[in-house]
Amino acid sequence: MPDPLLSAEAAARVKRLELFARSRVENHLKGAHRSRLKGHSTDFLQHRPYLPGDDIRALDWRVYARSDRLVIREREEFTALDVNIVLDCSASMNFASGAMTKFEFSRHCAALLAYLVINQRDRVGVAFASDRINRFIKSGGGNKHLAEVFRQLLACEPAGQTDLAACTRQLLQFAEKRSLFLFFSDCYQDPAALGRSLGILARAKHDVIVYQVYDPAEADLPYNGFTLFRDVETGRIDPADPQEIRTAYLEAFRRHARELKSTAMSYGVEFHPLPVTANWESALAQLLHERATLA
Amino acid sequence: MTLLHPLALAGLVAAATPVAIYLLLRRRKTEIQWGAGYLLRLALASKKRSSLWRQFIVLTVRSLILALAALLIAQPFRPGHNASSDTPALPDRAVHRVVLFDNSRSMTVADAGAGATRLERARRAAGALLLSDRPGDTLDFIPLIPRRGGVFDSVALDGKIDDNHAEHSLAAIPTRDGQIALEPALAAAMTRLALTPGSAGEIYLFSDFPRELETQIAALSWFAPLARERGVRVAPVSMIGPAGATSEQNVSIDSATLGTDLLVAGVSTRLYIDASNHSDRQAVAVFDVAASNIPLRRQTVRLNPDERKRIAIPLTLPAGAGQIISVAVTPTRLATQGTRSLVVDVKDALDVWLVADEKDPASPAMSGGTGDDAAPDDTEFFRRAVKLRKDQSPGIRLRSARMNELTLPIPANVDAIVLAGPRYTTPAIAKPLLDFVRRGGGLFITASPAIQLPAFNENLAALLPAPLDKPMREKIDPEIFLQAQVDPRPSTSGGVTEPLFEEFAAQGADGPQSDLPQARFYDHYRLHDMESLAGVVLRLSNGDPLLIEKHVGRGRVYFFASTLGVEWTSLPVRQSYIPLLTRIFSAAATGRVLPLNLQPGATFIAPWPVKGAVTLSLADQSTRTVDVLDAAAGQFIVLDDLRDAGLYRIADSTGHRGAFTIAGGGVENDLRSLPRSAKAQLAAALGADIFLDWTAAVKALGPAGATAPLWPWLLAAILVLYLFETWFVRTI
Repeated sequence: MPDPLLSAEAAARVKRLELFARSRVENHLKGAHRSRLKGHSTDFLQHRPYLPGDDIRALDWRVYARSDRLVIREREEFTALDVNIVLDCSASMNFASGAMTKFEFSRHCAALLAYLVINQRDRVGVAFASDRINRFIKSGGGNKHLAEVFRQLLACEPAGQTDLAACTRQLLQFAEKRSLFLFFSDCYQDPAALGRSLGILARAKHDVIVYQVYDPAEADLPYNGFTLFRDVETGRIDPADPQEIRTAYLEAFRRHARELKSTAMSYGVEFHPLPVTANWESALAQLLHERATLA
Repeated sequence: MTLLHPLALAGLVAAATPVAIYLLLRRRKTEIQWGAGYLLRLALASKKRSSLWRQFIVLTVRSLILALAALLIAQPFRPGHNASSDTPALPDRAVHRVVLFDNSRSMTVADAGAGATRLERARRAAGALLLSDRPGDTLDFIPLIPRRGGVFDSVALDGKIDDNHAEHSLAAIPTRDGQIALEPALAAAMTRLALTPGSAGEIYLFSDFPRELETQIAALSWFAPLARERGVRVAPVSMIGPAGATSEQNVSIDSATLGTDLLVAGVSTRLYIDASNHSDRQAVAVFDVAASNIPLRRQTVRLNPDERKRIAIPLTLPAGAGQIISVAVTPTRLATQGTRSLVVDVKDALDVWLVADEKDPASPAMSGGTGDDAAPDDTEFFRRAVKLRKDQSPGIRLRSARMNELTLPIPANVDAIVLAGPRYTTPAIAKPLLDFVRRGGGLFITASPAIQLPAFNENLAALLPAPLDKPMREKIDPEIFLQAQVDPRPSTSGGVTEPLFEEFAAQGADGPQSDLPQARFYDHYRLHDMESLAGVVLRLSNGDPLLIEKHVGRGRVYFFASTLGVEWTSLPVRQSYIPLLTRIFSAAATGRVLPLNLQPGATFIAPWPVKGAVTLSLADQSTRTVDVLDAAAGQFIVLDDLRDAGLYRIADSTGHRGAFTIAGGGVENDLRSLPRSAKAQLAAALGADIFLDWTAAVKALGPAGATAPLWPWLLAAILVLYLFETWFVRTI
């Protein structure tokens, strides 16, 4: 793969992993994921009483012979998974203490996941979010679609403020089918409001996974001396001595992450903190592996 | 609470260091782009209220730690019930103290605000040391100015002594004029301490640390290492008052001289006073000149800080022997530096022989008549000028003499002889003239075109400053002439530097003397070896000598390279003619009187009319009896090696009186202490700080009876505060 977003090594590393939707999904393409629809596969699902109009080919004659009752034998349907990757492209994602910004890190992760999804014959879509959905690529499959996804990922530049709550309302309108939503965001906003918005998605039977991408410096505040902190989103300057506020800041960081996680869990949303690292493919692979194991 | 090192309290300034660092760091801001502004604002909102208090507490604690550290270095202690503010603590074993006592004259002044003289303050401090002496202790006093010959007349005391003994011992240390000998005194002190190896050694230096010490500091390099090696405690203590001596005006008279020892009644001379302002402020100095039979002369001069000036005061004295001229200046701080005396003999008139050329039959001097109808030669011109201008030559009794009179012994009452351009000279006149000059007579030789050079140079070789060469010009041209100027180099007589003929210099002249530079000299004799010629008093504008002085025996010879009359010069028609010749005569006849104002170390010789003994009152008001020396030629008083400057008076039982002076004043004219940098060098050389006064020294050395140093408590407090600060910063 010549695209700089995804190296061959990274692709090879995650190729054997699979992205599973936790809930059943529905799609017109047949894929590897169990659908909530009953279909014609060989996997038994359940028996139910015959109702007029049912296809008599589905009658379980063996049961009828033994019990003189007409029952329908239902089988599971396998469908393709719709994965929508929501990438936070607000200005705060443009922060980096090292070589890579949070946005670049998220972009690489999104590219890897898109490749993974397409590779397992599922469909992938991408939404670029700040205080609204700036651009939405409808889910699709195939290498041509993957190339378009990559092109849009490369074209995007972070700007504006974060408001994922507003973005989720738009996503509800865009998502026609039940999908898996993967959020890559620093989530620097009120956890309760964010949780409520994500909960709406979850109640709409979508699977929602939130990756909180943060820079290690944001977790440690490793500065000394009197410093002017210029907020990259608002431009506001907050003067402070990092030594003096470090304890309070770290406490605020931990509390924010805790609240995000608890709120997400209460709404049935998965939450994973994801620190920016140079070895980003390993970090993401680790997360996917854990998830596959749990599944 | 008392502090051993109060200067260390300056370290309290360090208490401001944490605040300064805090403010400095707040000034040095760095700006970064920050992504998690949302979280930062959450943290700031929770910290905002407690942050200021926390910073205040941390800064206060840190400042307190530094302040206590400064206090710790200052070594505070609580005085005990029997603490003494006068006496340093004594060690547990026997102590040998050596007190180097500055006994110079400068110690006798009282500084503003001190309430006592420096000497009294030093004696008080030394008295306290004396009274704290225990049995077994030793105390030596060594004056810093030794006796003549370099002997330190020290006072050694052993054991407990009473107050009277202490007072007597201290009073026995005399003050002296002279140079402080610090290095030999320190060497003597170390030698004394070496005699008591079992005792603790202490050296106290009580002095005003005058500026003259600056030159001695380099020689003290050996002292501090040796004192450290032997464990000797050194305590230099300044005895200058709290205000110091720098702010008080102090003018000294460095020297006072007259143009000559021989003064003629009614003839004006000049008194030259060299004075210096030894203070850091401008001074308005008032000079008073007093002598018997003349009104007080007063002159006011403004002197800048550290400025030295020469002041010339015109003086005309009436006749009389042994007259004393007193000079005093105010403001001055030390009597020995603010007054000077001079003793002069003032003759009523000078007896001058005017010798005419015998070979000139036309000379009226030959016949003794006035000869107004004849063309006057040089001698006649001069004689007439003196007669016409009697007011300008009040001190000259002129007598014409023939050349052959010089072949006979010249009478003793003749003060000077004028040999005016003699055409012929013979060995017969040279010998009596030489004897006359050797005995103190003055000889004034002038040139003329008629001089027969070979015989002149040969016969008068012993009297002339150099052989005459030839006249400058073959023919007189009224348009070509030279002018005279006073040679800037002073002449010397008997060791006394005289600013001879300075009153005729253009810039200092006034009255009839002022027109000497306007006189024209159309021709003159040049001399051999003019470049190396010494004693030139007047020079012509081309650099050739015009008036040259030569000392022969006790007398002086003056040679004038031009004519006494108007043949080669216009000087005789100038106002300065008679005053100049009068001045030359009195300078030439100086040998007729014995020097009365001597340099230190000179020998005083004076005839005395009565046999027996005389009483000599010395400069320091002490007296001693001197035997009159009975010689074949008469009775003389001879005093050798007189060094103490001042006025000496001689008197005998018959009422005869005399006086003379030794030049110079006190060695210490500048009563200010060493400059700060030099004081620091001296402290380094001594290996000890110089204490500002005795109280400070006692505090620093630890007062006797002092107890309970407070440093353990301070150290504990610092430790507690440090632990609290560490806990607070990490925990809160």
